[in-house]
Formats: sequence, structure tokens, C-alpha cells
Amino acid sequence: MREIYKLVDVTYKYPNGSIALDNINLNIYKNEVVAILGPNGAGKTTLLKILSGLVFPNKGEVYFEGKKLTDEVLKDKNLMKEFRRKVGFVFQNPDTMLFNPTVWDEVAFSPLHLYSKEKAIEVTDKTLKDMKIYHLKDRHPYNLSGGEKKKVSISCILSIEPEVILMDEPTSALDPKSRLEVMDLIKSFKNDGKTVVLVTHDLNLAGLADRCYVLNKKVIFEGKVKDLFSLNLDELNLDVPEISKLFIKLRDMGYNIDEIPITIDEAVNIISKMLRK
Amino acid sequence: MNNKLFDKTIEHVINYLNESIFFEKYSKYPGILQNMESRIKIITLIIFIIGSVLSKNILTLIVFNLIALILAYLSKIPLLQYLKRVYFFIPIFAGIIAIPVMFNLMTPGKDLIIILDSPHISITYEGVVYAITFTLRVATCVSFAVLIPITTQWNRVTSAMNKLGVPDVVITITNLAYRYIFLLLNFVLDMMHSRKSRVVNKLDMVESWKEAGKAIGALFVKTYEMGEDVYYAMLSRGYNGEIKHIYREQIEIKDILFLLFSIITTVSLVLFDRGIL
Repeated sequence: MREIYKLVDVTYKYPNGSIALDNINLNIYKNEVVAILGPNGAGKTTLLKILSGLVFPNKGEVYFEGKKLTDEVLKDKNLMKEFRRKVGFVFQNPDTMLFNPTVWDEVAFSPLHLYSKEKAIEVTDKTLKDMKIYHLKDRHPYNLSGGEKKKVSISCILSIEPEVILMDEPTSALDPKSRLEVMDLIKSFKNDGKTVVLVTHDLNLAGLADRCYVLNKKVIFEGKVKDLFSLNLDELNLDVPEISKLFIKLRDMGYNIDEIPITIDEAVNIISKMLRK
Repeated sequence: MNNKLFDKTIEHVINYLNESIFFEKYSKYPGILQNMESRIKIITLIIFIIGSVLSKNILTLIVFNLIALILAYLSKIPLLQYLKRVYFFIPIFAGIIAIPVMFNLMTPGKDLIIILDSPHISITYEGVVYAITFTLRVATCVSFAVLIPITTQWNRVTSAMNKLGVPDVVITITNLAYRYIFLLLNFVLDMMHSRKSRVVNKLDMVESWKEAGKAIGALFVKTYEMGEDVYYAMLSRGYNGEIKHIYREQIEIKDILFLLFSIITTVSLVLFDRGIL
């Protein structure tokens, strides 16, 4: 598998001197969905900002496609354009991403900076149609619902067809329908060969990931999401699905539970197998 | 804290928000000004404003006023709303400013009403004519100026201004201010509601000012943080200090005819005003 990101001993301190990330080592490979989990203040968003080249570590190295990512590298206009074309970052709060007067201008912002005008118009219209939000194109972002804002902010980065998508809490503050839509989108990114890095508290969403890292300033776990259930989840302050909690409780009561489900479908399969036995 | 004052403040904030959104509604109506190319529309209305500023005769100003009203009517703007906005508050303020001009101390002339004999203070005929002309001129200019934002979406106004030579940086700052003023006003509103929900007794004036100071501080911090995040969001989407806009409107024959009409009408009225015609 081709390595997209490699972080070696990355340490980041906030301007007030407090440590956000301490000696982080991680690897992200092509076409992987990786979830970054952890409690509030664990440094997850800072990690995404480092991966997107917005801030740089005080210590350690960040490699993107084998090349070292530094402030100097991104000062080169061509290299910066190439990097921004490949990496899209969906911020947690869509209001910070939606700073243009209309949805069309918003989605056209990146293409206009990275492509020719003609191509920018073409890809903007295509993205709006693909995301089924073409009818919103003349609307002011202020007038959109939470779900629509999230869809527009995702469209903003899809308009440049990035190879890597970084998403900060993509389902937070969304209603169930919008949440499912975002989850379906993440599945489609995986099918389209994109690499996705998700920051979340939500284990339902993390269930889509191939691998996960649990962060609390340091990496405290790396592996498959299902293996997380061997940890003390209360300490990690994660949003554990009710169905998983039920199976954990049954396991703690002494029942023979080999696998903890994350979704209802998984739980139905496990129960069916148990009943057949 | 005076609850009536508090409620009024909330009410005014909400009204301001509603009015702003409400006015974007008319920009989508199929009226005469809505169908004009934005640059031509702005130039035309500015020509009418210049004509009004150059006019000294009350009759000429009334004709300019009528033109504004006809344009509003043909643009399908509810006239009552339009009249309330243009001809109620603004002329009152202009009239207050013009009050001192009516007295003989500012404008000597034929006495209309004598207020004091010694020292001689009176309202003069010339002063009253000047005050009426000034107020009417302000109302006429405002009536044309208001037609621009009512009949044009904000992004079109700024794009047209950019095309007319206003620097990119001014346009971007204006767009960002327009975008975030709503968001921050909502934040203020939430803060006010939250404070109201927690205040049991009425606060005295000093305390209420202290509370207002804290709210202003919180708003400043919020604005600063949001500004930083918006800048990161812009960087992550390829922003490199250069602003790029797309202007998609095209000038048609009807626009040129409208421009010619405005030039001929304004020149004729100004010449009439100066007694040349």
C-alpha cells in the first residue's frame, strides 16, 4: 500500500506553551479510512491542521507522499497548489468554511484558485449537481440548514476532487437523516479510491474506518475499531453506540461474547448466530 | 437592567436580521431593475443620485423622486415598504439636521416667524426653502441608493463594483463582513437570551453596563477565533493572497437603452433646474 502520510515524533505546543501533541507517530495509506478518536482537548483538530499543512510541528517531521511537509515547501506557489489540490479539509464548524456570499461562489472558491476560469465554472456546476444541491446555488450560506451547510462545505472540497479528505467531526450537530447522508458520502469516498481521515467521538461513524488511532496528546491505541472495546471506553470519553454498550454489559456479566457490534445489523448477525447455536 | 430596553434591543436585532434577508427576496422578482445588468444598474442609479445632488429646485427634486418611485413600482417592490424605508425615517433625520439652517443666524432673509426680538431670532423664508430642499435631496438620493441592494443580490453588487474598479481586497472584506455580520448578530442574540434566562432580579444601570462589557469582550474573543479559523479554511482551499472572482453577467441592448434613458433624463432635468432648458 502506498504511504500518503507519515508522522515521525511530532510534537506541537500551543502559543501559551501547553502541549497539544506529544511525540506522535502515525502512518496513513492510500484508500484507507482512518478514524482519529479521543476526548475533547486531545489534540485531534490540531493533528488535522498539521496534516493539512496549516500549522507545523515544533518538533518532529511530517511526510506527505514521501516528501517532507514544511512551511518553506508550501511557500512555493506550485507545490502549494499541488498539495491543496490533493488534500481537502472539511472543518467541524461549516460557518468557518462558508465565507462567500452565495453557495455557488463558495463551491467555486477552490477551483478558481487552482484551475482556469472555464474549468472552475464547469467543475463547480458539476459538483453542485452531483451533490444534489444545485437548487441552493444562489442562496446565501446564512439561510441554509445545518445539514445543507455541511453538504455545501463537503462540496467545497469535492469541487477540486482531492485524493485525501480530512474531516473534523463530520456528523456533529446533524439530524439523523443528514448524518446518514454524510456517512454514505464517506463510504462513496472509499469506493472512489480516496483516502479519508476522520476526527470523531462517534463510534458509529468510526465504524466506517479501516483503522483507528486513539489520541490523548499521545497515541494511546492503534488498530481496528472493534479492538477498541478491549480498552476502558469510559476513560476515553467516546460516544459508544447503545447496542455496543448492551453487548459489553452482557460480556461483563459472563456471557460468551466474542465480538462487540457497532451497528444494529452487526448485532442482528451475532444474535442470529448465537440463536442458531 | 431595564427589561423593556433589553426586549427592545432583542427585537431590533431580530428585525435587522429579518429585514436583511427579507430584502434579498425582492432581488429575485422579475422586475425592471432585477433584469438589468448589475454594472449598468449601479451606474444608472448613481447618475440619478448625481442629478439629484446637482438639483437646487424643489420641483426637479420631486420629479427625481417620482422616477425613483416608478422604478420601484416597475421592479415589483411593495411601495408601502419602500416608502416606509425611504420617506419616513431618513427625511426625519435629515430634517432634524436641517433645523438650524432655518434660523436667521444661519440663513439670513425674509422673516417668516419671529421667535425673539432682542436679540433678533427668527425663521426665514430662505432658511425654510433650504431646509426643504436639503431634506428632499437626501430622500431622493436615498430612494435611488436603496434600489441597488433591494433589487440586486449582494454578491452581484460586489462583483459589479469589482468590475467597475473597486480593489479586490475591499470587495473581499465587504463580502466577509456581510457574511459574518449575520452570524455574529445571532451570537449576540443567543448571549442576550442566555443572560435574560439567568437574570432573576432587575440589574441596576452600573451592573447592566458591566454585563454588557463582559458580553462585548466575549464577542471580541469569538470574532478573533472565528477570524483565525476562516483564514485557515481559506488557506486550506488554495487561497494565496490573491482574490479571484467570476463575473457572469453580460451587457445587452436593453441595458444600454436604459443607461441612455437615465443620462438623457438626468441631463435634461439638471438643465431645467439651472434654467438652461
